[in-house]
This record gives sequence, C-alpha cells and structure tokens, in this order.
Amino acid sequence: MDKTDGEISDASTLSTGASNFIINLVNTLQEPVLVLDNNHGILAGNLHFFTTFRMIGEEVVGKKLSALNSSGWANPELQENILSALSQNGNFSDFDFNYTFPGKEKQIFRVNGSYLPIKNQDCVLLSFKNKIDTNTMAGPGDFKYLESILEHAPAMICILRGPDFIFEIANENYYHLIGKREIIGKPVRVAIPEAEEQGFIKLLEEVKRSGKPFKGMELPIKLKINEVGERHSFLDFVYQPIFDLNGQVDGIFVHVIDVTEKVLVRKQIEENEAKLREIIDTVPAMIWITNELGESIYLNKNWYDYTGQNLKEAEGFGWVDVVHPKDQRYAEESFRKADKERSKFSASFRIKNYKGEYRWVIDSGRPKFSPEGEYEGMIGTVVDIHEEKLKEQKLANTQYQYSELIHSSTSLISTFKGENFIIEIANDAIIEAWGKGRDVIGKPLLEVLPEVVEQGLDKILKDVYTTGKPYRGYEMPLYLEKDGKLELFHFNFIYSPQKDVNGNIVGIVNVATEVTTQAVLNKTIRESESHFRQMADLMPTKVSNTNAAGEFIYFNQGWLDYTGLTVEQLKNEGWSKLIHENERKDFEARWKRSLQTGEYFEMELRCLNKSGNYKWHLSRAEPVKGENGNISMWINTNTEIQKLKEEEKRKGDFLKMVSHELKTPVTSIKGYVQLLLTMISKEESVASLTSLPLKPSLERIDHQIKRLTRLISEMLDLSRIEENKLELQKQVFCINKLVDETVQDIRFTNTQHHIEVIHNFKCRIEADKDRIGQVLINFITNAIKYSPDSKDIVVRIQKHTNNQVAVSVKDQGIGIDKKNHKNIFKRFYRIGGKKEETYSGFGIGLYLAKEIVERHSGSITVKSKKGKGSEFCFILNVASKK
Amino acid sequence: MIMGKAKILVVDDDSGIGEMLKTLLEFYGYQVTVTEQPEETEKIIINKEIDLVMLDMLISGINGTDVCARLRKNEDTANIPVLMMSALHDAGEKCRLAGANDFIAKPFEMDELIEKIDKVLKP
Repeated sequence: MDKTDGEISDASTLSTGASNFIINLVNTLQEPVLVLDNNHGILAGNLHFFTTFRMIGEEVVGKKLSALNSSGWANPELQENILSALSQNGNFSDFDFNYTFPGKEKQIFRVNGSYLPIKNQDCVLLSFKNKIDTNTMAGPGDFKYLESILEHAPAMICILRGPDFIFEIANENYYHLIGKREIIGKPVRVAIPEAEEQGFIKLLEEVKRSGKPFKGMELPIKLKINEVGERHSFLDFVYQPIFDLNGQVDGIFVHVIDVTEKVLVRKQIEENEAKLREIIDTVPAMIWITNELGESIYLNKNWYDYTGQNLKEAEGFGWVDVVHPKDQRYAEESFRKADKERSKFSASFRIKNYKGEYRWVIDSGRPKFSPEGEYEGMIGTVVDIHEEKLKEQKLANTQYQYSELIHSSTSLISTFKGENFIIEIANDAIIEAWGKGRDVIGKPLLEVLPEVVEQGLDKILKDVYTTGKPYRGYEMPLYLEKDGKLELFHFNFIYSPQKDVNGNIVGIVNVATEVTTQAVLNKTIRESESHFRQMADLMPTKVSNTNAAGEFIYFNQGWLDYTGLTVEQLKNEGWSKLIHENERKDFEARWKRSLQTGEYFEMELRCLNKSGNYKWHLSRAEPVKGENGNISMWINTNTEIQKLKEEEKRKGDFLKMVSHELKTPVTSIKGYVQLLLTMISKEESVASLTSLPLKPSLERIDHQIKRLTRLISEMLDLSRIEENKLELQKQVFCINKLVDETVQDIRFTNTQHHIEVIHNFKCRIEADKDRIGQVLINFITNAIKYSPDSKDIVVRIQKHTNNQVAVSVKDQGIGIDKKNHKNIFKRFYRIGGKKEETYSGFGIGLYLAKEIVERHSGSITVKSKKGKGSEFCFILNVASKK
Repeated sequence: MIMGKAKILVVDDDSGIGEMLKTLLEFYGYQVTVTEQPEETEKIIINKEIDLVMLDMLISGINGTDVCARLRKNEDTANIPVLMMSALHDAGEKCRLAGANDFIAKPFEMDELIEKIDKVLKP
C-alpha cells in the first residue's frame, strides 16, 4: 500500500480481512474518522483523527471510547447516537460534539455516525467534521454516505462477492478505470473479460483459496475503455480477502491505485538515464558519480578502459588506488573536502593507466541535489591533461630557464613598469651595479636612483615610454651613489619599450652592460689616437694609409693643406696624378711592385701643390704586418725635400761653377804653356828664344795663377766657415788706405770699368786686413760682373752711427729683385733667371763676405732694385784710439 | 782660302782667355779679333770679313748659345762657321742645337783646337 496515504492503526481485534478493509477504507477518507466495534471499542482511526484530537494511535486503539482520558468523550448524546447507530438500521442523527482540548481550547465538531456493514461485525464509523464546514456536508449519515465516501475516495475501490467474484460495489474511480461498463451483479470474467486472459482471475482465486491478500505493484494491465479502444495502465492494487463468519473467504475487497503516470514517468526517466549513460560512456571523459556518503556509485566505461580497473576495484573509494602514491592524499582530500562542503572542486594529479603509466589528469566535480534539494553526492569528470601538463611543465621549465638566464646573466637586466617606472624585474647583476638590495623591486626607479634624474635619464625613459622608440646608450657616463658617494660608471645599454598584446606600451626593458673599464680604456685609446692623429696632422710630412691592396684609407692634414683637396677627393682619385709626369710611370710601377712583394718603397718625386707648382718629395711606404705576418696596411709618408733638392742643385751648380771658374784660368795658363812649348820645340836655338813673347806670357800665367789661388782660398774659407774654423788675424789699420790699394789692384786687371773712390770719412779699424780686403774685392768684382752695360762704380767710405764706418760699393748694373735680397747672402745661392744664369761665379762670395763681416761684429746691407743697380755696404766699428 | 790667313773672331768676356787665344792663334798665322761684347759680334763679322767665330758659351749677361742662334737667324751671318767653347765639358749638344758647327771644352789641347778650327773652316 502506498504509505503516503497516512498512518493507520491496526484493528487487531478484527479478523484480518475486516481489519484490512477498515484500515484501507478509513485511510482513504479526507476527514477525521473513527471506527468503533459494537462494544464501543476503538477499532481504528485515520491519521486525521489522531492529529485532530492529538492522540497517538497506538495508545488508543483497543480502548473503549468512553475510557479515553479526555473530557467530552463520555458525552451522553455521543453514546446514545453510537448505540442508535449500532442497532441495525439504527437511525443516527448528526449532532454537534463539543470537545474541549487538554489546553481548555474548545471546538465544535459535527459528528456523523454510520453503521458499517462488515459481515460478522457490527461497527460504527464516526466522522468528525469541523463545525465550520458542516454546512457543506452532504448526505445523510447512513450507508449511502459511506458509499458516497467510497465514491469520492481517490483510489479505485470495489468489492467482489461469491465464488464467481460478482461485483457488489464499485466506486466512481473504479468505473472510470474499466471504461464505465455495467458491472454490479456481474461476475468479473463476464464484466471484464480481458481480466482473465491477463491472469487476474487466477490471482483472485488464489486469494480466495489461500485467504492471503495479494499485493500487486505496478502491474501492467490492458483494459477496454470502449468497443474498440483499450488502455494500458500500471496499477498498484490489493486483493484483500473478506471472511464470512465461518472464516471462509466470502468476498474480495479490491483497492486499486493507478500509478501509470508515475511508472511511465519513471520509465521515461530510466530510459533517459540509460541514454544518458550511453552518452556518458561514449564521451572521451571519464565520468563519476558518488552518493551522499562520498562512495563512487558510478564510473563510466572510459574510466574502466583508461585505468584497467574493474567494477569491483573501482567501487567506493577504489579509484584512489590508481592515483599516484604521491598524489593520493591530495586527490582524496580535494574530493572529500568538496564532498563535505558540497562545493565544486578541481584537482590535478597523476593516475595510472592500464599500461601502468602515470599520466596527469584533471578531476573536477560538483555537488548534485535532488529536486527537493537533498544532497545526493557529487558528479564529475576526469580528463587526461598529460600532454598539456607536459607542455605546461616545459613552458614552466622554459620560463624558469629564462628567469634563470635573466637572473644569472652578467648583463644588467631590469624592467620598469608603467609611467612611474616601477622596478618589476631586476637581476642580481643590476642590483649589484645599482648598489642596492632586492627590496628595490616594486619601487619606482627614480626614487631608488634619484641621482639619475639630474643626469637626464628620466627624460630618456619618458621619451622611450611615450614614443616607443628604443634608446641605445653607448659608453654613457653615469654617476651612481655608492656608500654615499657618487661614483662614475659607464654603461652600454638599450631601453626597449615593453608592449602588451594590444601593442600598448606598458613599461621599459633595460638591458645594460657596465663598460667602465672599457670606456676608460677606449677613452684613453681615443685620446691617444686623437693625439697621434693630431701629431700626424701637425707633421709637415704628408702621411697616408692604405690597406693591403693599396686603397687609401687615411690622409693627414698635411696632404689636405698641400693639395687643397678633401680626404674624399684624395681617396677617390688617389694622388698619383699629382705626381710629375717624369716620375709618375716609375712611381706607379714601383708602388705596384711593392704592393705585390711587400718590399719597402722609396723614391723621390715631384708632387703638385695647390698653387700648381711641383715640389720634390721623398715618398716612402712601409708595410705594417699583422699578427699573422700578413700585411695589414701600408703607411705612406711624403716628405717635401724641395729645399734639400734646391740645396743639392745649388751644390751641383756650385761644383759646376767651381769647375768652370777653375778651368778658366787653367785654360789661359795651359794655352800659354803649350804655345811656349811649341815655340821652343820649333826654335831649337836658344838665341831664337828672344823672339818669343815670353814676358807677357809669363805675366799672364802669373795673373791667372793668382786668380786660381784666390778661388781656391775662397773654397778653403768656405769649408773653414762651415767648420767654424775661420781665424781672424786682427790688426789696426786705415780702412781708407785698404780701399785705395784694393781698387788700384782691380783697376790693374780691369780697364773697362771706371771705379771712383770717395773718402767722406777717414778712420782706422781693428780687423783682419786680408779678409776685409777680400770682402771689398768681392763687392767690386760683383759690381763689375753684374754691370755689363754701365761702367761706373762708386766706392764710398763714410761715417756711420755709433762710431762706425760704412764702406759701400754702388753700381748701375742689373740690380737684384727685392725678394732675393736675403737669399743672395746664402751659401751657393745664385739668382735664377735666364740672364743671371750667364754670370759665372761660385755663389759663395757674398756668403763669405757676410760671414767675415759678422765675425768682426759688423753688418752687411744691400740696397737694390732690379734693373736699377745695387749698393752693397759693410759696416764696421771704428778702432778705439790708443 | 789660304790657311794662316783666315780671320777669326773670339767672343769671350774673360780677358785672360781672349788674350791667350789671340797670342796662340796669331802664332799659327790667323788674323784674330777679340771682343768681350757679344752684341758687337755681327758688326765685327761683317766689318772685318770674319771667316770663323769662336764663341764662349758663358758670357756675363748673355748666353753664347743665344748669340749663336742669333747669328744663324741673320742672313749676313747665317753661314759663318761657329766653334763654341766652354769650361762645361758637356755643353756640346746644346751648342750644336743652337747652330754651332763644333764645340771644344776648356782647357783646350792646342792640337785639338787647331784641328777643329781647320775642320770647321774646310768642311
């Protein structure tokens, strides 16, 4: 029977059949009902009765109504009515029953009494209706009322009598069940023919034979509802035997509840569940369900396939066995905690698969509640995440390695987050370089290193942060505070913007290297290089560099100054085209050979300067070899040797002139001597010698020898002066007298020129008389020599300032350009020019004259214009009077 | 032309050389005129009907080669034999280029001098 219908008290004093019938009956009623036997003993009461009157069924059943320990039950009207009802066909009128509850509360019930026709028992059924509801109550209180109660009972009820099971009564619901067929007075097999073929008659016969009730649960049945249609139903039903006075089964009380809907719903659910399970079994995940005790009550096929466990092994907490020993505690605790708290959980651990390999899985579960809200356990899944986990581990490993790399790197690495440049990452190296501790992480950089602000680093950072352009610093000097003092460091570094996935700048990555030593070294090298470059630039020598192949890589300032070209022009065009064509081919050939052989290169050549003049240079190139012995470059120097060359030429010219000058008197002498010898050999008699021009010839020979001697003396003087060995034989003499004598001598050999001597001043000087005479001769012979057209020469002796005497020799000759006034006193110097070249001479006369005069603490001057004659003058101290 | 009668002009600014050559060549029978003024050369050649010019290479104020070249350009003197002389022994080429018939280096060997004079006079 369906327990939800309510508690009933067993009417133990009745035969089983009667008592069951009564119990079934009263339990179907919706109002407080009490059943009494003919002795007023309480047979049964329904739940409504006991709750309404606050009684416990077990305590009151079997007792007499009047014995109930509560006022009101001994009510004479109640007793009378009960007696009346118990008398057969007794008339029982409804009456009001005033009941006082133990708590003095009073309530009026309308009591209806009915005689209950149970075969061998005279019973009365009392129903109590709350007075308020009495007006709605229908029907008189007799059997018909009972019938009406039966009619309205939710169950399908009927009573079958006799061996043929003839329908005695049936309620409305029952009629409805069987399709409203006419059944009363008809045997079952006639009224409901389909019942027999479905075995119901047999069941009835069995109940009748055995006297034992039959309970059917959810039995399927097909009942006709009309001529053609039939209905499939599921029924819970009771065949309750009704015994006659002899204890024989006289009839059967049929109590049927249609549970079709419930069964169908359940079947639907079961079907759905089966489908669901099928689905679950086919999904890749492993699915588990636990009960409210946490025990596994279901695991899908995947679990068994995956783990190789069987049903038995996995049940309860068997699943824990396949968890990795190290993870077991964690896995079980994760589950138990969620189970206890009825919350979701997710845990990752290793389980052993059927091959015996441990693989990472993620186990997630959530609580499951019944529709009524009762906790039913957990449901969850287990997913293999081994590959992902490995990847994750790999990634974590990689991240760890990166992290290690960053932290163990000797490079200085840090990241600054946000516009405040919060130090997010800073490796040990950079923290050490900053001279700080790890506590700087999370602080703004500019607070940690306030000293960098005034050094402009904040501007650079802000610039990188706003523009997104990386900044590279090379050997940037930076003062950092260490132990309270600012120390200078140098860093190579790069600030790169750090961007998020959307490309927004979120910070700056700083990778730096401290290069203080290197920077200082580089600075030294640079300074040194600059030093040498400056030296190279300051050198008058032209210095250039080529690589091993001879391509120019450097020209010093000397080259630029000399040629007026730029480094680029020189590099591109080289300088060989500046070389004089007489030397160029030779230069190119020899330079090429040096590049091929690595031989030292040296030659003299003329090179064009920016004014368009060629100047002689000594060009050298020396190979520079690298560590491997190969030539790494050539250093080329071009030293201007124009002056040396000129000097050399002057020397050459001098020697030429010496030879010329010496040869001239020698030619004369040789001519006379040869003539005399020829004449002597022809005129064999000595007497004939008198006819020879002997005297004039010898005089001329003598003169030429004197000339030769003087030339030789000059050359000796030159070498003496060069070696600073010129000795002066000083004496005091009259300068006027020396001039007169000297001019006289010259007049003797030179008749062409007119030499006038003017004595404006007379004095004595202390000097080497011969040397001073030599100077005077030089002046006068020069005057004669360079005045081919004008024959007048004036020699003047006059007083000069500071007690000095000036002796000047003036001519009207070719004169000297002013630019040459200084040069004419230089050794071997002879004025160039077509006309000047025709004059013979050593080019040492004026040089000697100047040296001699200066050694007498005197001075020598020249006044001259080209084409306007010259005036040479020497000034000497007047001798002190003794 | 009879040898010994030939007229020779010596142009040299060194009087010593001029005197010596005059003495020497007159001894060999030549008629010798000496001048230290090269610009007078043409005038003397024409006036004195000179047969041969002995021209010094290095005369103060003027180059002997220029004088020679000048003579060659002048119609009146273009064909006159010129023997140039110099103490610079390697000047021969220059002189020949200037139009000299021959060159002799100072100091002279007398035989060589006479030989060269004869040769220039009688080509």
